[in-house]
Amino acid sequence: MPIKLILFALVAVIQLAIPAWMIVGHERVLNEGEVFKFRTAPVDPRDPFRGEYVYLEFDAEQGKWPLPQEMKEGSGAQHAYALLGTDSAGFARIDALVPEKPSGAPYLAIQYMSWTPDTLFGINLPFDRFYLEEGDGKKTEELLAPQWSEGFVSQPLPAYAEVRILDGEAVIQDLIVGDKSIYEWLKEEPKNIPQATTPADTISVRAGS
Amino acid sequence: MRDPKLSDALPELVRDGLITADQSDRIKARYAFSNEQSGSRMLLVFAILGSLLVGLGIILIIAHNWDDLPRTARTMIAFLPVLFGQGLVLYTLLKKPNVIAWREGSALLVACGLCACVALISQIYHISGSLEGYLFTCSLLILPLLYLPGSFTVALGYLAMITWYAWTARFEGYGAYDRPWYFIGLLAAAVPFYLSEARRNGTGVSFWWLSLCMALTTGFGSQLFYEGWDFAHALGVVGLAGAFTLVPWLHVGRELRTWPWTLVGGATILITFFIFSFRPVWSDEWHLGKNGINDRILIGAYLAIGVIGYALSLRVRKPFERWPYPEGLLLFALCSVVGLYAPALAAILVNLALLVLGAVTVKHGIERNSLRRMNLGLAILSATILLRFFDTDMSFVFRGLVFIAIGCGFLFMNLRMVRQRERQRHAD
Repeated sequence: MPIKLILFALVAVIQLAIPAWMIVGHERVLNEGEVFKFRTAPVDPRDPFRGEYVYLEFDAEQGKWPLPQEMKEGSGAQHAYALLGTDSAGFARIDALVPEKPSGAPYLAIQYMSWTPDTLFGINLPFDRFYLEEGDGKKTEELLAPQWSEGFVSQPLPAYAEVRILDGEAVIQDLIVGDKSIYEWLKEEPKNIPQATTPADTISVRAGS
Repeated sequence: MRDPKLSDALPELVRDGLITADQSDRIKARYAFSNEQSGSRMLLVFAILGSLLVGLGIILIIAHNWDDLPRTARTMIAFLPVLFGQGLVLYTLLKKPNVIAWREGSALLVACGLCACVALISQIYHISGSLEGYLFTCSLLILPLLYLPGSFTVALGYLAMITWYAWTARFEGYGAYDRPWYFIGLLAAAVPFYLSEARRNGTGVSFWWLSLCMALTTGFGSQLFYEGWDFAHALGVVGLAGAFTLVPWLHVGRELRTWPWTLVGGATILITFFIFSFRPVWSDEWHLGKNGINDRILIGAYLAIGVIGYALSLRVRKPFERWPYPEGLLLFALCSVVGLYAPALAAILVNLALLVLGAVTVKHGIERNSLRRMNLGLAILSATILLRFFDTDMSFVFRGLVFIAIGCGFLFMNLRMVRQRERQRHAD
């Protein structure tokens, strides 16, 4: 029996340590990481275990990057590192893709798939979910969707995810819509949400862009 | 007329001189033990159901995502169900080590608590990724519970979870090209538990369910390693399914409830045969050569497992003994070779093979006086004939006559067996 107890104590500690380690890693990024703003357009799905979230698509994931020789073209998902920079408006952008972990510059571990030998047109950032309280996912999606009224379409306010990045690890800190956190918007009545009004045939609509 | 209760009948039997008082006491003692067992079985069912409901309730409450609570509070709450469950497991190990209900209930609570804990951390830190990473982490965390305290229900959940993980890793991840390599390790980690259960409780109902889950998980997971999927991969499926049908022959002379392996393997072989009994399947899709080298190796490996298993089984089993499904593998391999050169002939051979499988199953049913087995054989024969309605041009009159003939066949065979049983009973 004592051996069983010792083994169980060991198992119990490991079972607690793994989730705790996940927390420590993410807390470190949140406290010490550099802040980047990623333009985004959320949609609202659910996870059967983890609840409701908005799925985030980022502008920074689309682009055109030269594919270094060492980054092989292949059928599966490939791994690389993205060197981060900011554009003139202060939003994050991916300056280059490199095969090895860089030093001295902020970077992220990303995935990509390539069908051309020398150029990449899209990558997959390691964060794409923002969890919300049950019921808030739909509200968030509606908040960021264009509204139609008498031939005019109201373009939604620009949205971006505030992401802390440290040593290639990233944790989303907040989802900002216009100039406020999504949590503040969700506390307000829907009618208070302002939107820019434009004739329907003059714009191409994409939430968050 | 209702049969009398045992407690009422025993004094009468003693009075009539049919049994002695001593025998009566022994019978009473025997069934008193059974009542006790039945009570503990009820306790076990309620412990499992209760723990499962509480655990799932915790997961659902956590899935609500309480944004109003500060991050620190939510982080602390994440660990509460785990700690509570671990406390119960500790109590079980110390005070109730032999009570299955405590063991199962407490382990199930820890498992649900761990799944809820990881879910809550994912929410708090907006951890991304498909379900794959979550299922993998949870599988790893609950794996030790199979051995300490040793839980059969957690094992069933674990097997279901790693199968789901393998599916998501293969088909739902970014790019969906990855093969679920970790699944092999996760499945291998459950094998010692399965073997220890076979030694400890191999004739129990729980082992039957464990065998079923192991067979389904192994069979399903093994087919997720192909790069592509076309009809030629059926060779790999049938190869492994053939090996499954031989599992009960691994323990000749020792009673173990490994029949689910044969059930899963046999059902897979029959379904594959029915699919390939259609003529267009052979002519349009049967091209083994167009698969990648990895797939061809894998198909070859599964086929080799089946053929080698069959060859080894001949030491303890005669061809077509007990059930004909292991021979189904050889018949399918033969049809596949023929299909490369003469697709139409291959389709005809598959139909003939199905008729052979059905006839042999009927024969076994009659020999063993088993209505279930005989009707399975008749169902195979009938389905083979009925499926031909779809790919041949038969008149309605002919189809009607076939239905009537099949119906009469079922009635005649069943009546024949019932009469045979009655004759045997009178003879005894």
